[in-house]
Amino acid sequence: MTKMSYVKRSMITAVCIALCVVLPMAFHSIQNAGSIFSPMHIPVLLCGLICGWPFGLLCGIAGPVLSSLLTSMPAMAYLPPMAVELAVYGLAAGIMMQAVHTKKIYADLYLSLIAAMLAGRLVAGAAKALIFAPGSYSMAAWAGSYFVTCWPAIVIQLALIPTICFALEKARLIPARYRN
Amino acid sequence: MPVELKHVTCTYSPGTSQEIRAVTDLSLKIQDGEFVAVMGRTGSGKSTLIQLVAGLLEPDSGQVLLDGLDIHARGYDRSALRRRVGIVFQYPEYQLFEITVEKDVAFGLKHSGLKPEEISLRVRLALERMGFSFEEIRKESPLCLSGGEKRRVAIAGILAAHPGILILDEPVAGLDPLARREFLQMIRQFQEEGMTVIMVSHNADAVAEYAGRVLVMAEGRLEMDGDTRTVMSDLQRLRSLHLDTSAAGQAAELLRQRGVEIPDQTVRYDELLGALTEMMVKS
Amino acid sequence: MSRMPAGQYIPGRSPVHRLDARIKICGFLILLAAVIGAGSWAGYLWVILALAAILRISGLPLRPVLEPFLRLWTFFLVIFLMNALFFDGQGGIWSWWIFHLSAEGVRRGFSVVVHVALALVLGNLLTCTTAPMELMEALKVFLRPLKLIRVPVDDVAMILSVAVQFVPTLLEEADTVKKAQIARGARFESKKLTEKAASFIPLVVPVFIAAFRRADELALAMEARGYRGKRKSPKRKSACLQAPDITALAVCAAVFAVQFLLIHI
Repeated sequence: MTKMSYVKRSMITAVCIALCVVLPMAFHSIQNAGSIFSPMHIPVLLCGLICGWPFGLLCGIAGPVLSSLLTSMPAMAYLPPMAVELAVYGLAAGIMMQAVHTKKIYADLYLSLIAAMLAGRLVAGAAKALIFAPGSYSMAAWAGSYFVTCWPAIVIQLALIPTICFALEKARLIPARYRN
Repeated sequence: MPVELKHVTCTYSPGTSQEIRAVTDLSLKIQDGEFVAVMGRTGSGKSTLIQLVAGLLEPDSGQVLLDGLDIHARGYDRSALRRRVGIVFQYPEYQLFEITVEKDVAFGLKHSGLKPEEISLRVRLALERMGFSFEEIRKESPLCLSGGEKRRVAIAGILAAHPGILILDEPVAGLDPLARREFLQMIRQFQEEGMTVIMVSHNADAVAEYAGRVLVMAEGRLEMDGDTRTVMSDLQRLRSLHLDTSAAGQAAELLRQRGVEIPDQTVRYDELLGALTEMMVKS
Repeated sequence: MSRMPAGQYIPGRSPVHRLDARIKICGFLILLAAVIGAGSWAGYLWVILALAAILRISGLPLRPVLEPFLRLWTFFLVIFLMNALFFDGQGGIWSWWIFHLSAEGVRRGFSVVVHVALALVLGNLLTCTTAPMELMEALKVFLRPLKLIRVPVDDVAMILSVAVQFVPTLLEEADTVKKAQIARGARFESKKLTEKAASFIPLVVPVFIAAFRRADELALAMEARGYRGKRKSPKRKSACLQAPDITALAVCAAVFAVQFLLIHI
């Protein structure tokens, strides 16, 4: 998926950043959608997978910042750790997609996604423990907030993101990764 | 299933400085089997009106009645409402998402409680109705089709639920003249088979040609309501509301000003043609 | 369904609205520090007074600024209880199984809730009084130093301003998709996780396709006009700061200074 021009990748990044603002707003009327499927993760991961790591990184930082500035969701106090988490998602998804070539699109996608989701959680946990709330942050709190309470979101994202990629390819909006 | 709105008021963003009254104290009744066109400028409350009828917006005050029952009353069967009222938004092709055309058309029937055979029969009929060969199209991805085909698949997805009331928002926008005529003739056929049709359109020619009744909205109020002939021949009033008038109506007006005797209330192309031919024969 | 979310720009002509956006962001950060630093009754009272004064001057209606409290009350309750019940502090009042209610925990829970709530109000004050494009322009100024580490700041700024302009369009499209699928009979109340995941597909897939189509069209239009990225954007002269801007900054600094004194006395 590296055949896209710089301009096109820039514009895809722009709409993904916009979606970081739009998705939480659009779905907040559906009960619990926001807390259940963490809508902001999806455009960031997709942007990294499709456009590569520099764009994924930008989307991961700019998405939550812009959302916070425009809609005050997430609240400013939660913004730094969240921006770190999302930035690593975008970055890692992009790097993995470049590094992994198994000849099977779904395998590439899932490997990159899982690696990115793990890396983001690890780094965000480390950042919280060392920078944002040193001392009062425990291993149990980390596991609790990043794996236990949000495992539905993890499942939903793993189901949704490859589906979206597939649909975008079908609609010829992104080039196919492998010819078949 | 007559639809009735009783003193409906609906606002966006209530309680903030950006409060917008979308419709104010709107009352109207639409009988079974009517072909109603809704005209009005952007922001006049047309889309609010159709979303109220489809039960997608809840009024701040007043009632929306379907078959005499308040659709926002406690205990009203909302999922039955969804099957009875179909709404085709502008650019309906944007709602496609499934892997195959067949699955996409069947999406709305998933929770209907119908048997699988019944569902697949309805999907086949809806697709054939929209001019597809079922066997050829069923396994295609709806996202790979051409623009016009996508729109027809999306509409098949709405028809498959067998709605009694079909609401269309600017259905002919972006269609070429031939496709537009075919599409409108198909809608008329639905109406002749007993479906109620409510169509929002800017296209005055299409409205004059196909609708039986016209509602004109302005600033959230019902400005005009009457049979197509009466409303569409009031060129002065339509112009003062900054709306389009039908080409035939305009031509009739010009001819009248030049002393040619064209009957009043000529708004359709075939009527104008008929009147002119008659005159030619006489002279 | 027809309610706008809180925290969006509300046009106005108050002194707060007219401040330079760069100053507002600086002032916001200073006041945020004052909020985070608050640790005593006097400290809380002081920042609440300061925020109330700004709210009064800005002439904003109360509702959009304070709405997060109504919408997020369950969330506040959860943070409060988490802190109150799980904090391993001295002075236990009541213990059962893993729950451990302590006076220290209650105090901590209270302080976390107050901090988050005040930070929310502060954020709303900024976003309700500043137009999105102004915020973007101000952000661009703060991004400038990143050029030193070879970040293509002009391209980043271009991407960000395109993103801001896309927000209203995409929001409308997402809303239409949601309504169209609901009208077709989509349901979201399923309890089973796999079904829940599946029920989001009809919403999310069309929204992404619409967004990517827009990106595609815009990229084509830009390439057709010869944009290749990495271009130098014309240097825009940033407006000079006015007296009210400096005053506002001084006031924010004073609020922080008093807070600082309150902490250390």
